Amino acid sequence: MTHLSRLSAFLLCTALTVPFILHSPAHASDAVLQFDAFNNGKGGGGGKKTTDSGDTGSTDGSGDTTLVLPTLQNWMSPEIMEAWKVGYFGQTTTITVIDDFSSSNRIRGDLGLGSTRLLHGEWTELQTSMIATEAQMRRQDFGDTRTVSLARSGLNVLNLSYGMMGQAGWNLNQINWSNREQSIINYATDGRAVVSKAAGNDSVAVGSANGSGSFDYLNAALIGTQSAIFVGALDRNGTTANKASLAWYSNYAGIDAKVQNQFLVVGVEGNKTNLYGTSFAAPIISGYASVLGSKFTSASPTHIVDRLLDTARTDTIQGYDVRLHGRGEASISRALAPAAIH
Amino acid sequence: MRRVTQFAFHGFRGLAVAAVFSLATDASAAADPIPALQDLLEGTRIMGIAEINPHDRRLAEARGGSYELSGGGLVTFDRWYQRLRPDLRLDGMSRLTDGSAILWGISTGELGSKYVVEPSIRLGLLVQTHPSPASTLSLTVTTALGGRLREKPCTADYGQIGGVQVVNCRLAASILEPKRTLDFLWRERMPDQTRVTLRYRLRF
Repeated sequence: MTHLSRLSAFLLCTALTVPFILHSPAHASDAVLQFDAFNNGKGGGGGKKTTDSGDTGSTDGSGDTTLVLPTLQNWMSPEIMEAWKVGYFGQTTTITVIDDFSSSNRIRGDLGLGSTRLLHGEWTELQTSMIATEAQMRRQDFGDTRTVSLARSGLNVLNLSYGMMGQAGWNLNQINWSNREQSIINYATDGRAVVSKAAGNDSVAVGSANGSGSFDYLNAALIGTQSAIFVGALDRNGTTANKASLAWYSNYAGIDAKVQNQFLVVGVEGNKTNLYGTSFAAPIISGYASVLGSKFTSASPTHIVDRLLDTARTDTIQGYDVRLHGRGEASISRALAPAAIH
Repeated sequence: MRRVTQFAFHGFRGLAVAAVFSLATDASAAADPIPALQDLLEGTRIMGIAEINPHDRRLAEARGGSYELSGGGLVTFDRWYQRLRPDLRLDGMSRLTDGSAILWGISTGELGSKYVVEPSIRLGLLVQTHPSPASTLSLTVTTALGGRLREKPCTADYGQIGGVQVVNCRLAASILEPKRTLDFLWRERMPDQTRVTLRYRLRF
């Protein structure tokens, strides 16, 4: 039996050019966060968590909708603004971010609210909350290995911008998961929560060992589950006129049809945010899932995941290849739209 | 007529009351109703027939809308908000006295695939005087009944995630819960339903 002490949690973000791994806080020695922080190490002030939300909309009696819209940041896909134009944004949904909220490893970035240094978890939480502006946000620190609790009502979304890394070669049934990871795997297996999992930054196929022989066992455990999505990174938000390519660091779908079937890509525009890595791809899908859950309030997590996968675009990706890009680039506007209308 | 111009400074409601009072006074002056009716008919003129939809601006905006379906096909709104039967309006005027007339109009309403503009009638009064040989002061008060814009819903198929639902056509792809989009269907009164116009013309 492999013990948890052999696995480490890694944040999934990257440094300027060389990906690095930050070990999680003392209590989280079993987890490895995978992240890549651009310009990491520069000085700066503390971060500000924002959960500012848009107005929920009102009508003036004339049939017009009056809204105070959130601000479309330059790192976001313009599609999300289309989705915001009318409506409310993520009510009835709960997003739980499992991440580093207690270490001293701050990363400099700017999601459009000003350059600042935040913890990895603060960034991913902020990013998600800026898309699903009305979602209930919860956080679970790496130091807390207890079972992840779900909200009793509404859609639950779990954001995993980390991987559980260990030396390759063990079978999954040899892993003695913590309650936290075991609960996440169970939720994905049973379809009880949308699990948005950062694919990883080793530029290898999901489910493969990286160049140094490390392997993300959490990825492996989520392959084939009902409601987990692996999220890779594109170098920008693609359009048909300006197609995007897989980011140099991003893990890809590979040849496993199961992985291909549950793999999405989104633009991670680190040149605008200073935040690189699939750590910052997964929160976009978490936000999209929440937005969908607020529209289709009776849809199950599996329905939400299937919808995101089924409506992904391939015409916005340069040289689309299912082995690289899986189902394609997530499209929130298509996911929200009907298949037919008359 | 001088009395009417004095009322002009009392606001719209005051103007309307003054105009109606003026009409009643003139009508009661007619001793025999049948010759008065004949005079009215003889003094009636058709002012024009026009294709005018008071909601055209809103509908024109809607016609420019579009969104993609989940499969990528484009839905454009023009086919929903294009008029299938135009709104024809007949306007006329019936003279009461040398200085007053009844304005009237009827419209057929308009029909599109996803909207209806109800038929309407418009009634009003025109009074005018000449403060000097070279000038004309006129007051027009008109009001319309009907002409409401009503939007029809669509049926949207969201597949497994949402099934088939009745929705607002324009908002079916928005973030709104499908059934909540129905709250935003147009149910609008005719704009400028009551209009008061005071006009002074000086020729030189």
